Amino acid sequence: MKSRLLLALALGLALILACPPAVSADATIRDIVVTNTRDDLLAYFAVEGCFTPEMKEAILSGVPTTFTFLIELDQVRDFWLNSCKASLHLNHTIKYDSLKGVYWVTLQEQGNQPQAVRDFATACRMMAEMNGVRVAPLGTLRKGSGYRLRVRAELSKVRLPLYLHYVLFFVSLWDFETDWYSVDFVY
Amino acid sequence: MFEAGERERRKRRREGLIVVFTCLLVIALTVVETQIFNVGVDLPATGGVVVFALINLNAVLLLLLAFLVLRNVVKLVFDRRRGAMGSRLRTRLVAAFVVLSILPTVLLFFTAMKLITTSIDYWFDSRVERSLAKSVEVGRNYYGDLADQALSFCRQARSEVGLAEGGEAQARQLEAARARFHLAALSLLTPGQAAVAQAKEGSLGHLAVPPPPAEVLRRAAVTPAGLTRIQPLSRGELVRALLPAAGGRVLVADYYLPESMVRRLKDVRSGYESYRQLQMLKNPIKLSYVITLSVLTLLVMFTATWLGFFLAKGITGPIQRLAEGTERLSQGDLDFRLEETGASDELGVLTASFNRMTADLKASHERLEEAMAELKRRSAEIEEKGRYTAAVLGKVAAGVLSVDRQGRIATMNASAALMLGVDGAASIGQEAQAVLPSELAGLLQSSRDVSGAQVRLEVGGRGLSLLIHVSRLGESEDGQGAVMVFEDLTQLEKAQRMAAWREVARRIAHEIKNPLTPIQLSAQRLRRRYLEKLGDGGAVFDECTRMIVDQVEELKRLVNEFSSFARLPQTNPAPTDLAGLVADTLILYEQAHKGISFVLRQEGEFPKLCLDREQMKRVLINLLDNAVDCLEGRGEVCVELSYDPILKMARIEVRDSGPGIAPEDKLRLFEPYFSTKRTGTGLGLAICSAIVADHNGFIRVRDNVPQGSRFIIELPAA
Repeated sequence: MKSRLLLALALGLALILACPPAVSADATIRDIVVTNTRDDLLAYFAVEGCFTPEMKEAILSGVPTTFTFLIELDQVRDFWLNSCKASLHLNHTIKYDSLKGVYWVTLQEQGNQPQAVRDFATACRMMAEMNGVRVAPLGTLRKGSGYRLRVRAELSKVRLPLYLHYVLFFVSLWDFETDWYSVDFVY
Repeated sequence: MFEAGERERRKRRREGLIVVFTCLLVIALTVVETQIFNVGVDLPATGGVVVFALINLNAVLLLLLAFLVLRNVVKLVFDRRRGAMGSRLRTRLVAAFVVLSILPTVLLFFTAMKLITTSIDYWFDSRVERSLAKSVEVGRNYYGDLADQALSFCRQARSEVGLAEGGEAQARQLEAARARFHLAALSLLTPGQAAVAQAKEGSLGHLAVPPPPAEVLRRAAVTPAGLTRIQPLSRGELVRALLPAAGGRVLVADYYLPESMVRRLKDVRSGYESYRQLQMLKNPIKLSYVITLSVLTLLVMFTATWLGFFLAKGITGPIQRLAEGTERLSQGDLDFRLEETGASDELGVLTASFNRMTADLKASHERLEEAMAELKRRSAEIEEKGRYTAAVLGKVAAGVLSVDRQGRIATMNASAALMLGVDGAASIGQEAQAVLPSELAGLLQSSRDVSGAQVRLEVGGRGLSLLIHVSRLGESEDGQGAVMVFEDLTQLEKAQRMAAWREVARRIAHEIKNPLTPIQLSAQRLRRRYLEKLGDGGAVFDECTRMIVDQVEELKRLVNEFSSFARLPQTNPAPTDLAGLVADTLILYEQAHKGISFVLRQEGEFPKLCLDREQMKRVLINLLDNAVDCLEGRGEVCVELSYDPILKMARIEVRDSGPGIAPEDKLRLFEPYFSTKRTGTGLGLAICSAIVADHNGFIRVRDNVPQGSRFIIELPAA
């Protein structure tokens, strides 16, 4: 009887202190296109539903927000584990300059040069789209083999003022993370 | 007990150390966490993990503290439920401690929360936001005005400067326009970012004026209204206005904002942004403060609770041990001692006093036990003496009885009961007058001692001659009762009389026997000499001499009887079949007395007895002769033989159906020279009595049922 009571108390405390689940928006990836130039394999896709009102308010408050896009190219093999041919982590960052009234958008695949955008819709579109990303050189692919391109998008660490992001790790005022989306093709 | 106490102390010390260490660690971790934010260190990617780990460690430590405290609480609840000693007091102490600590803590908690909430709400008042927003707006407007101004001056410069000509003249025009409009720089660029001509303010020095981004130039080239851009430099910023010029070129007018100005503007912006972000996180910040305060409050509560337990244990522990010690004492364990910790407080004094009390109790108990043992020993001695006395009194031949002050029989030994023919046990407590013969009761009632009083009385149809001594108990006149000792002199008197009669018989026989023979001889001589000579005249002579001879013969017989009584021969016992002897004797009588029925009865086995056959035959003959004489030719004579194996006593009863014997005659029946017959010498039953006595037996006479007499002879078998 005594041990059961103690166990119940311990479980209760654990449940109380358990982190509340993160609020995740229904973000999805659409329009995944795999194409190529003469030398490289390119990918195009866009994230939808990643900007929540809370996120917009945070961005307008000057909170720098970074999206991270994960792109993986696997060679599909029968009766064996798939071989990873390429793995990319690309960041898109947006920061609003309230003084100048512009959104500074930095796209990693375009050289990390901040671009000033005056309207939020354009900035959101730039943040959410991945256009012509060089996934892998064509020379690394084998003709006739099956490949799978997997993409995912997530919201990176948000730097809060007063280092609150260390403390408020259990607070998720905004967050999104998409599932893995994949496209199979044969080279 | 001492080992259990030591283990308990070690356990408490260990728990105390854990609690103190945990509290200090929690406080230290909390300080570290807060210092991280205050110092403003920008932690690397792993820093989040570290902080996360620190916070979790804090939580784990709090859980550990909670566990330690709750464990004690649960243990206390269970102890109270099963009524463990000290649990109630401990509950009260802990509850008091907890209430005293929780109330102010909770009050402080809520007050602090209220203050924090109010302060945070105050910080995020709308007026503050408005003023900050206004500041940002001022900055923005400043940028806007500069940009508008730059654009306006750029238009004017475009209209004044001959942009298609080029060369030094163009450069001089650009410089003049720049100076007139107080621009930092005025440049003419191609869409490919190539500078056709540029005028720069001298105060800029070596500060390079970079071209706008190509994309911006391209857009400006196709935007008739022009564009404005703010371009950051390594030091300061440029507020740029771009207008398309002739030849597809772009005229760029720049205002320079020095670094100090830009910094101030950035400060305004960052302050506003921080404010907005904080405002957005107002509730989470409140929550974090709540959590921090809660952690501290919990810490205080748990520490207070644990302190309550610690102090309660410190108080109830000794009290509990004291209570246990009292319990053990009540169960008789006088070797129990409490462990003295040497404390000089009241509990220490109480413990020392308890131990002293226990030691004293033990010593008293031992003394008491010794006294009890001595008492028991003496009681056993007294009891043994009492038993010995009772055994002696039980075995002594004299009768001993005592009466109390009220005249009730207090004690009566077996001899007294046998002599008086009463039930000794039933007589105890009875009135002496109701139980004892009147002669004895009268002596007991006397207020004086009696010594050597001889009393003759009849008890149960037999005569007793008692020598009585009566002694008063106690010194007062009333005394505490009396003790009577009496001896049965009946047999002694009988024997004395018998001896006296024997001596008389011997003397008489001796004195008379001597002259009888000469008298008889003389008479016989006279008959021989003169009877024939006298002839017919000798009839008288014949009759007289015959009378003399016959009577002398009779006298001789009488003398012989006396002589035999006086000199009874020694007993020569030998194993004798008494049953056979009786049977042989009865046969003779049956033949001699046809009118009398002679019956022999034997109950069970009759062993052989050590008897003098001739003497016992004499006894039988005497008894049978008496029975026959009293029946006068008609009746029944029954001889019964029985043997008691337990008492080892053979019993011979000779019964007749005659007229019986008068009670007054029974007393003297076995005395010499007492006879109820006209012609008896009176020595027969005396001789029988003597013979039976010589065989260590008893003979007595009782009435037969329905009539007649019964002579009972009891002889020991061994």
